[in-house]
Amino acid sequence: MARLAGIRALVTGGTSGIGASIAERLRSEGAAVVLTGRDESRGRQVAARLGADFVAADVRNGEAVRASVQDAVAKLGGLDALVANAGILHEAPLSETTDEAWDAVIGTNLVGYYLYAVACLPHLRAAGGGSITMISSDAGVWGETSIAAYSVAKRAVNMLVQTLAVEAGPHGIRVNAVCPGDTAPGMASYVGRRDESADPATWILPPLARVGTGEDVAGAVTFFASADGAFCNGSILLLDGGMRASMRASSAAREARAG
Amino acid sequence: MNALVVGAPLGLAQACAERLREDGMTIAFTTPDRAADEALELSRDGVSPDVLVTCAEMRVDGSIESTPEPVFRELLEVNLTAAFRVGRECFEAMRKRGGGSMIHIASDAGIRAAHEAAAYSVMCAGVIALAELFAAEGASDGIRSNAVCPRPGTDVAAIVAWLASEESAHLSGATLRVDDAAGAAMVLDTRI
Repeated sequence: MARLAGIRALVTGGTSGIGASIAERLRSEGAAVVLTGRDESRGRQVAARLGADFVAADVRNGEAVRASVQDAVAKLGGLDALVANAGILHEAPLSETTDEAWDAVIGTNLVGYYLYAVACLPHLRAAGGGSITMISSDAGVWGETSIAAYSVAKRAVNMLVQTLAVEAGPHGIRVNAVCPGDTAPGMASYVGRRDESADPATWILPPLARVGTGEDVAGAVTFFASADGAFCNGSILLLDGGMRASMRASSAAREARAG
Repeated sequence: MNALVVGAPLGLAQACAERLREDGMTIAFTTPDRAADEALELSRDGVSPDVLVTCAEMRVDGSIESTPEPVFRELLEVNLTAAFRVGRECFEAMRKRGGGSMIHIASDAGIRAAHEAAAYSVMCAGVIALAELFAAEGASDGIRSNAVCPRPGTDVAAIVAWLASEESAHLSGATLRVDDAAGAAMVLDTRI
């Protein structure tokens, strides 16, 4: 399948976790890909493995973001798709969230997405249209006290997606969000609530009784970036195995496992 | 009862402060840039607010793309980060005294996107999430937290007074859209 043949894509935070899975899928669907990341040596390794290019960038720094977009566009010869994915998770309720942690989480997960979107929009217009897909979180739809600042950032990202959908849509640029639940390998795999050495009966899982995979997220991103998603704009897609479908969704998985 | 009210002078928050004063509360009024420090000073003076009111009052019109980075960052700081910091300080004080009521005034733009004030809309969505998370975290300590989301120009002082009072005792984590039904459903009528 080459649903993305001819698509030139930029994936932020594409050197590990969900971002690497997305980059890999976009490549296998025929897209040309540039990854961004903080770790230059790992970034070059991952990019070489995937047949992609790599640009180093600190997503919290506006100048660095704008420079990385210029670099990426030069390497790709234009831009058709942005996947904003670079994020960090901080485990703390609001009362225990320091100013530094708040600034890091909001600066990366919200301001970083804004910076990339604004820097990419002129290039997407120049290409005659395209897509922006933001990797948000089910915590943005329905927050979690244990990852409070992250939940706030992701709620704001979902609104960023909707406002951008309205202003960019007339230019043929579609803007959508994917809201994964716990995904492995990914940031959630080091959240203490699912210690994989512990009794599986204690794991908190959605009704589908597993965590998400990078491939699950990559499939949704491919859909949004391809012609299959041509009428999706401002869409907030829950991709969480049903975790946010009910207040006590995880008990369904637990009961099923218990037989 | 003591209330700490955070907002711009002569704005929505000030109207709320006056109403709470009429209801017999002792009011400390401060601006977003000083709010967390004010909460700490109150706490050092042995005053623990029973009520916190924050107000996202910095609205800038324009699309996301037309919002320069410094303006986006200022909107974030004034509307969202200031509410988080003062909320966190008051949360500790309220926990120690056994409860309290936080009222975070956002905007209807935080519920349904207002693309004409796009960055403001983004911050207001964040404020609503903040109000919900304070509510969930504070429930076991008697701390309530709600979001009030008016359309521009709508007076919410009476609603804030009600949220500050015990009459709204079981209301926490709620988002009150105060907009004369503007966001209730789409009215697709070419005659309007």
